[in-house]
Amino acid sequence: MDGLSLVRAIRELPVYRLLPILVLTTECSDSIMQRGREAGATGWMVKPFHPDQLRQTAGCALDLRARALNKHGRNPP
Amino acid sequence: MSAPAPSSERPRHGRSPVEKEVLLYLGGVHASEEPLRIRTLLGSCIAVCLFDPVRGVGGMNHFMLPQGGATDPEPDSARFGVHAMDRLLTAVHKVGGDRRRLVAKVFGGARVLDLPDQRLRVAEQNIAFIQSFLDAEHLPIASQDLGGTQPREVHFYTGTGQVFVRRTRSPRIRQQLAGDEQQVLPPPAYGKVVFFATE
Repeated sequence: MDGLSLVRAIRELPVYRLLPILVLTTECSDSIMQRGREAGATGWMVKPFHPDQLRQTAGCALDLRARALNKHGRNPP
Repeated sequence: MSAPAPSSERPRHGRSPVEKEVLLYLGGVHASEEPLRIRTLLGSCIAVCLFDPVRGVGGMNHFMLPQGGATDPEPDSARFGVHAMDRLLTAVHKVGGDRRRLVAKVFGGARVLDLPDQRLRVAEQNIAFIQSFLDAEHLPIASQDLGGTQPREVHFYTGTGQVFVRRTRSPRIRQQLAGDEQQVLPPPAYGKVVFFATE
């Protein structure tokens, strides 16, 4: 199973509909990022990155999740 | 006559009153028609001494990298070897040195930081650059002390062309030079971050 298959498999589980998923990868072409978006990834981080950058990005992903929970409650559409 | 340089000049007490000393820092270039001593401290940086044995004049530079990057705010600074060499040749010429007679003595290029990434090995880049430059410019190397891991203190006597090199094991100096070297390393290029979710 590759990374995008894993993202798809996680997203198919209703309990993880809003789980933030960041893809950490060396791949940065538009086509592969589009596949990541379609698989259900929250964000895409291209290596290399600084640990602070990862913390900041994870924080943003959690903020997005919190906003989605406020908007849709625990049972999003 | 001497080229502008970030240096300090003072008479050496207890020696001949005509003997002066110039302390050369990173990015400095200095040449003199009067005999004096130029002193500098090197880690991965390179110092080149050019000397005209007929006129008894010479000069020294001290640079940190072969050349500046595209984003460097001062790409033509004498902190970079291509410009430091150009300015040293000009400075020695201005004090009466004849390029056809010049000989070079080259020092530095110690690997003060042990970096695994070959691209970041400043010392090796500097050594390769200066050997290639002097060869291309047909400037013979009269002596050299390059590489290794220990910092060097270099004393160049412009009137005689003599150079004295002292390798130092001082942890304080080593730490200081390692800090300087860290600052000249190119910043890492980080990848981009894209968010797909917009909610």
